Amino acid sequence: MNAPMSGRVAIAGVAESDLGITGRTPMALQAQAVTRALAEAGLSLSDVDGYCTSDLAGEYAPSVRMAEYLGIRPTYHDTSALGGASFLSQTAHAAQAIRDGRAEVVVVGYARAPRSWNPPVPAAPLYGPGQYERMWGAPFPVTAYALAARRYLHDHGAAPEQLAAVAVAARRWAGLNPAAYRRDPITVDDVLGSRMIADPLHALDCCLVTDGGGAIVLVGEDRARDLPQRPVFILGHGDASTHMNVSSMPDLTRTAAAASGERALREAGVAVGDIDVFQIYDSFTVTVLLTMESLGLCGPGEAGPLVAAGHTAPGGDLPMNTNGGGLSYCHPGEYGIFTIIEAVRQLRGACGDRQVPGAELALAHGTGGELSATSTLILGSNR
Amino acid sequence: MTRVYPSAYEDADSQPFWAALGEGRLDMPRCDDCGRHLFYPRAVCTACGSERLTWVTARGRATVHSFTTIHQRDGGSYVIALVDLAEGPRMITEIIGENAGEVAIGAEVVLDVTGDPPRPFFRLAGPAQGRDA
Ligand SMILES: [Zn+2]
Repeated sequence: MNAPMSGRVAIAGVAESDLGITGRTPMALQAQAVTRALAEAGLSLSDVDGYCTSDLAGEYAPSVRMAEYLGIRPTYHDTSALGGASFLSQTAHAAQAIRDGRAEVVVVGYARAPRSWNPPVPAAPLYGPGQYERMWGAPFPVTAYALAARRYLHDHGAAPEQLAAVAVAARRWAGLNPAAYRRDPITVDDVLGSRMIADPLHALDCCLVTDGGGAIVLVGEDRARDLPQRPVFILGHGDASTHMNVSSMPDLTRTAAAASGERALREAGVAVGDIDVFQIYDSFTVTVLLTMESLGLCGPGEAGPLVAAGHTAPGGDLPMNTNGGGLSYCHPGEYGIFTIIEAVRQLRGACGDRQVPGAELALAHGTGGELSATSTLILGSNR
Repeated sequence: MTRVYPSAYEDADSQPFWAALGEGRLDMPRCDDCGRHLFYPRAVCTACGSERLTWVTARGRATVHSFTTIHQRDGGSYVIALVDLAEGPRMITEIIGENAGEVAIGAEVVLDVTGDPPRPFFRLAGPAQGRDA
C-alpha cells in the first residue's frame, strides 16, 4: 500500500439512511447509509479497508460488529468516542491513516433509531462520577444545557427570544431541505409558547428525536480524482474536552470549541472569517450561541443578537446549519456526522434551494455529552 | 407527579459519601498535601495528584451558580441548581422549600440532608429557611 502522492485526503461520498420514523434497526440504517455513500462515490463494500463508528446499539466493539454486518474485513478500525463529536474526530484520524498509507478507503458510519428500535434495558443503579448528577432524577442532557442557558442569559442580560431565534433560523433552512423532518415555518412566539422542558429551554429549543444514519467515504486525493463526485478535502481538525459532567464545566458559557476550533483553523491556515458555511451541532438552541462565541465568530454575548438579526438564516452572511440541523432536520442521538455530510454537499454545490452560492470553505463542528467534548473540521473544495 | 430518585451502587469511591448522608452530613475528600476539597469524590487530587486524601464534612453553605426549573408532563415542577460550596467545589443539587421558585443566580443556600435514602438538598438561606418542601 502506498501513501497518496499529494498527501491530501478527500471525502468522495456521503449519504444518509432513511430518516424520520423508519421502522428499521440501527444496524440496517447504518448499512443503508454506508452502501449509499459508497455507491455515490463509485465504490463498493469490497473496496473498504477501514471502518469507523462510535456506536452500534450501545454494544462494545461497534466497528467490528458493523463490519461483520456489512460483510467486510477492515484492517483499520477507529471507535473514538466523543459523543456527538465522534465522527469529526474519526474523519480526521481516517485522513491521517490514509496519508500514512495504512488504509485506502475508509468509511465513517453512524445510525440510531430512537423512534423504531428500543429494546428493553433493565434499570441499572447509578454508578461512577455521573451518580452525583443523576441522583436527582432530572432529565439529562437537557438539564445540563438549561443550566448553561440560564447562566448565559444572566451573564449577558439576554432574553429567551435570542435562544428561540436559533430554532427559527433552523426551521427556515429546513423549509428548503426536502429531507428535513419538520419544515413548517415557526416564529419566536411559537418557540416561547411551546411546552417548557427545563427553564429557559422549551420543547422547540430542543433537538428532534428521529431515526437516522449517515456515512462518509474517505480516499486519497489521487484516487478521488478518478471518482464521480467533486472531492472535498479535509484541511484542518481539532478535538478538545473541558469536562464530562456539567458540574465540572469550568465556564458554563465557553465550550471546548475555543480550543478545537482554534486548532482546526490553524491547521487549515484560515481564519474563522474566511468560512463560507457553518454546520454547528445544535443539540439545543443554546449550544449554537455558545459554540459561535467559543469559535470566535463573535464576542461573548454577541451571538444571540446576530442570530436574532437573521445573519445565520437563509440569505444571511453566516449561513449555518443549512440542512435544518438537529432542531428541524434529523437527530438520532449523536448528530455530528450530519454536520460533515451537509458541509460536503454545500462544497459540492449540490444543495439545491438551500445552496450557499460559491461556498468553498466549510466548518463542521460536533459537540458531545453535556457541552463536554468538541471536534472541529475545516473542509474545502478548492484548495 | 411522583419524583423518582434513582438508587446508587455504592463503591469504594462513593460509599463514604452515601454513608455520611445517612448520618445527616455532606462529606467529601480533602487533599492532605494541598488542602483542595474534591467533589465529586475521587481517588486522586485534581490539583496536585496526591493520593493522600481525607474525608471531611462540608459546612453546608453554598452560592447558586445557575439553576433550572424542570417542568414535568403533569404540570409539576422542581428546581435543579449548580451550587458552589463554601469549600470550593461545584455540585448539582435540588433546591427545596416553599420559596424554591424564588431562587436566583448568586443566592445563598443551606444544606438540608433529607429523604429516604437521604440526599444533599439545599434551601434558600433567609426568612423562609426551615419550611417544608
Ligand atoms: Zn492536592
